[in-house]
Amino acid sequence: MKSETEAVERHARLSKVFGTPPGLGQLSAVNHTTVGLRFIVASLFFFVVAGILSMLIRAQLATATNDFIGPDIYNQIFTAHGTLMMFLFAIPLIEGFTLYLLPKLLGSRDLAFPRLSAYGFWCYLFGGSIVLLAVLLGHGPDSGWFMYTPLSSEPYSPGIRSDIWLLGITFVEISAISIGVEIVVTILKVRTAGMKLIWMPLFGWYLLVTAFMIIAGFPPLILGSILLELERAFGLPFFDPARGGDSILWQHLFWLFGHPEVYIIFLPGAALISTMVPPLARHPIIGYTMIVAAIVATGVISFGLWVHHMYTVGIPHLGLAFFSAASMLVAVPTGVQFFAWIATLFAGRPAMKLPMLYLFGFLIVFVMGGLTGVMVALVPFDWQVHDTHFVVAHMHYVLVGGLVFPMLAAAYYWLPHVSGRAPSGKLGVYAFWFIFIGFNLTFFIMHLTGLRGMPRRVYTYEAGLGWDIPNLVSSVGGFILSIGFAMFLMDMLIYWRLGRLSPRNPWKADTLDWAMPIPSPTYNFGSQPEITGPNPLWNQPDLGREIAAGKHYLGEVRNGWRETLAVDVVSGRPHYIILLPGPTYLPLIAGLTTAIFFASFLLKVYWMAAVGAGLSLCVYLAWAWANGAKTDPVPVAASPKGDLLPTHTGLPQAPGWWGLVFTLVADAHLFASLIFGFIYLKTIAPNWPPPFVLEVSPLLPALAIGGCLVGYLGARAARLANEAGREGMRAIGLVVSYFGGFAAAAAFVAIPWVGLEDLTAHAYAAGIAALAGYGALHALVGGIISAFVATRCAWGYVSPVRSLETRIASLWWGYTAVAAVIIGIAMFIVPAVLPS
Amino acid sequence: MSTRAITGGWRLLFALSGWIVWAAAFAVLYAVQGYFCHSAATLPDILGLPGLTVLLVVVWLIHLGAIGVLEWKAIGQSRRRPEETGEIVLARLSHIVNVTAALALIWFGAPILVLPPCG
Amino acid sequence: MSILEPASRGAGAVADIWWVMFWGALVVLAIMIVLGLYAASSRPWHAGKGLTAFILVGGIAWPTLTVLALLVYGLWLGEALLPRGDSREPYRIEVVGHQWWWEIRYPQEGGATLIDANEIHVPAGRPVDVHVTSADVIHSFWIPRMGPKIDAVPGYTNVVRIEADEPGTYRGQCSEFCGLQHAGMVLRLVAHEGDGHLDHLERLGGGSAEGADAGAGAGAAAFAENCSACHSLDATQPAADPGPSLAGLSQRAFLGAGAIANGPEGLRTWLSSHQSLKPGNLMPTFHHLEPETIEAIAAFLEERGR
Repeated sequence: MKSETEAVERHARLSKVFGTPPGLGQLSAVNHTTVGLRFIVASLFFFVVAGILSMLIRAQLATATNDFIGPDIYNQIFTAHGTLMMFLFAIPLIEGFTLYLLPKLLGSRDLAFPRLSAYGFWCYLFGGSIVLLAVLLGHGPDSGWFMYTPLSSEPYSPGIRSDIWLLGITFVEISAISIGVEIVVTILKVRTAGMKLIWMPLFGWYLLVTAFMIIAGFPPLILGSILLELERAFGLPFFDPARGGDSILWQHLFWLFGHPEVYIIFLPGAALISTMVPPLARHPIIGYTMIVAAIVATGVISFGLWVHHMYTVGIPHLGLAFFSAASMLVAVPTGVQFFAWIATLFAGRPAMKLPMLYLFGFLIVFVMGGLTGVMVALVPFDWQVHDTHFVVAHMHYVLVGGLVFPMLAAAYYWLPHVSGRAPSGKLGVYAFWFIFIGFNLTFFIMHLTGLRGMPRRVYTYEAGLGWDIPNLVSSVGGFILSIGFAMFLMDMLIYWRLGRLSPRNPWKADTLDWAMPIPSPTYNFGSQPEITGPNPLWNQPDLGREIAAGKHYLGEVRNGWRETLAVDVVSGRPHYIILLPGPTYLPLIAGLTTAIFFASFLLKVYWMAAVGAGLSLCVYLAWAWANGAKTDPVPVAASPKGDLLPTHTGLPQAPGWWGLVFTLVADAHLFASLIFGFIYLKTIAPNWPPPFVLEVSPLLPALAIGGCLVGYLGARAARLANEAGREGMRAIGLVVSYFGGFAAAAAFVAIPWVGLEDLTAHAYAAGIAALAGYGALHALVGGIISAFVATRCAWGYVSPVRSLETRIASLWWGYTAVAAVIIGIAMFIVPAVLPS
Repeated sequence: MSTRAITGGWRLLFALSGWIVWAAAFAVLYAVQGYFCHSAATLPDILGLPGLTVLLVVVWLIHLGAIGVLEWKAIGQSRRRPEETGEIVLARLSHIVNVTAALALIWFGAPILVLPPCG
Repeated sequence: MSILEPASRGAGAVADIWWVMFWGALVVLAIMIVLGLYAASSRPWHAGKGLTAFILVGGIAWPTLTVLALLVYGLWLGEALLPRGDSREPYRIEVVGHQWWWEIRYPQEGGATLIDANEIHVPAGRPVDVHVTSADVIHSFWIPRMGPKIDAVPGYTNVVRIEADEPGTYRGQCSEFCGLQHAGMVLRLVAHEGDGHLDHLERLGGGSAEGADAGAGAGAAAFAENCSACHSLDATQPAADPGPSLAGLSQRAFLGAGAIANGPEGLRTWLSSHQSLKPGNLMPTFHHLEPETIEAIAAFLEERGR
């Protein structure tokens, strides 16, 4: 009895600390449960919109020579359907699920960077709104979700439509990269005590790889979007073959993102399945290590598939063979996962509950998508069916099978967790059959439509080519499918509010997400459990009660802190205590200032865009300033057993350091894509060599590269001086690196300015300008970081123990110095040495 | 404390490094093939084989060798480490990763041996 | 348009491998469904023994062997379909994609070129190398019953080899999204027996003998004033700002790259209302022209476009 009142009191204290103010204060929410649900709800909204668009597509294609909607509207609609489904539904839905579930599965109280995920949400919402608004106003992008140049370039798409896509989606991608970094750092560091890497729920492994893929896969597209926008806005001809550009470069950059994207969508679906199968089968997963290896293999191979979208552009056969081989190979790790799930069902005593029905839908639909995937990986077959409705069918089988069916199963599985209520099951069963039958009716026959030669993206077709009946069937199926989704959404809404109360852990699951009361409290765990095996709730049946009773880590509230454990990456031993930030409007304000930048750029009010960028910088600095402490952390009690752990503030291995490492990984991928693009144009593009070459005094590049090296040496000296306690030297180092940064930035800007006649005349000049811009931006940011850290030092936020900020400056500068040297080589040596 | 945190990250990276080499091999092979097929640079025939084919085979074997070295190190490590559950599983993961990556590298490089390097 | 009714050896090989893959895929799907249902049917099978082997065999060995066979065959077939050496000399034509029609060029001996639009005439039973490029955005050249498609990329020339086994007419269509009238880029391949394709070329070139001058009459004047800036009547001479060549117009089965059947009625309908037949095409509406002028142009085209 006593322990129960205690638990209730603990609940009240923790809820107070972890809560978000009501009313408008909700806009300041950073809690992962809240932000995760916001992502899910927003993505479902975009799903409904994109679904309605798809019904318009099917209405138009239902009969031959239909004039329901003309080509202009049709092109906007199919572009919007793809764009919304990919960027504003699938990825954000995954992010939402992950933000909500990940800390609960890992036994922690929040993510590593709660404010970053809130910022990610606002970027997603504002960027998505720009795109949606344009579509509703009839100014939507109309070059397809793949935006192939030169169709999307200025001469063939004048006006604002392509800019909407490029800027709106880049805005949303800021969100994806933020969440990617968030997820990786959370999985590596923010787990509960004793959760070894190899005891982590498979969900953790899946999302670790997925988040890495986001970090590595999105930058090429961001770069491509920036280059294309530079071409459209300022005439820098990266993709214009008449001026030494190359439209195929866009395809490489796009699919370097676009193919990993497919697995970025599938792996989280598989993650949900791997989490649901053991409880439903009542048996631990079979082949854990093999699945982990399969996930890693899938993630890596997915970067070796992009050219299979480009079999028909005229690439040498051996080049295609590499990609064909890799595309076929990816079937193997997928096979491993399927057989591991089936083996788990064999080993256990499966319970035929509603989620299981949807998992069967997944099995059938995704296997079919995978089989047609192997078919289109076969080069000669793809030469025939590429860009026909066969591929439309294949891709919907993969994406709906790989993501939507697992998500539907997961929705029923975790609904009790979110709402505390259980669905009755009846409506969910009907919804399943409508969705399953409607889906197969729509898309199975579409294979035949494609085999009979119907190309994709045509707004109409002649009668009598054998396309009439299959199209009509697809359209009828599409409407049945839509009814099914409407039933599902209704089911969710009804049982969200009206379902019978669900018992705790209704599935008798093994994972920590069910070790808490439902609906989930804001703080997740009354105390963070120390786990002793891979299936915590099966290994330690009393764990739920112990957690609520505060028997484990961080059960007591002190100083109003939001505390969560950080652990050693591999062993899961507690490492330090993270003090999480509370509610703040900073993410919202940063989102708004970023929106000013993008919206002004879109409307070509460039001075205003500069203001938006400046304001964003100020907000980021204010954000960074809000961190930290002026006294060194002391170890505090972390568990009833008396373990002592330091708080994270300023520690060299704090989450912020890891965050910068992975941000730089993303940055490096963007840089690598830029270098690749430059060399690609130089080697392959038509109309080279350029009519002029870069002519500058050697002093300028020496100053640019030298300035970055000085910046690095200064920052490094400051880091070492700080660790040695020499404050004077620390200040000198930072000031030196500050001046080095600004000198380098100025020199980088000057190189194309004085050395090239006309940036718009040839892709060579545009490429030099892009490289210089990259260097200038990094040197400038480095200078700002040095100045910022110097100020922080002066205010007493940095000490030999709290060395995080000097380390961050040093790391940034190290990266910048290496990049500057590579830029110098690319600018001055590559064009001279490499034969075209 | 800080060193322990870093080594944790490196050990995870090491366990997965077989596939990272695979990715590197893929990028380098495709880049070399694309570059020499499209640029003016030419390679002489070697032993009656196109020079580019020979170069690709060399690049291919270097990466296979790199995975071999990784596996050799991994075997050495799993002999030295204390027999804790986590360590054994991580070591096993490392072996699986290396072996599958090597097989996958053989798989996708094999077309070099049968197809003309360009065209 | 169907891939499943191949009319060339290459397309036939692809259709064959499709049927192999189709039946194979059905078997795989059936096995997976049966396994899934059996595993979920609440019958405890055994407590983990042998399940690792189950994963190794089912998840690794089975897919590896299957895709290995496919990969080897696919690479072999790809080599066979590519325009590599052939004992017979391939017939050469050039195709240029435009928004939204196809320019067809027949290189002639002596360096001249005959220019046609939207219809290709080739000999049957002989390999044809189609050299494909684009004048604006990316298009894709594809005649399904002939086999592989190839993209028309600005700045590049790609080559695809086709060969019609039998004389006949084969439909094709642009298959890379190229803007408003992507759907309105139809192409017709006519494969002739023997040297029949040469007759077509002769008629095409014969029209040119009358010269580029429009000649006399109201139709000629109206054509010269309204049409000749974009359209040439001379197969050897493109117009200054090229729209489709109208040389040999009356031999074509369609107008507007598949928009309407050619004929006296079709021609007049096209001239007066092409923007509703093919919305967004780059030809101005010419709504300001009197019906008599349109009729005069139509009559002129019928006479000159033979």
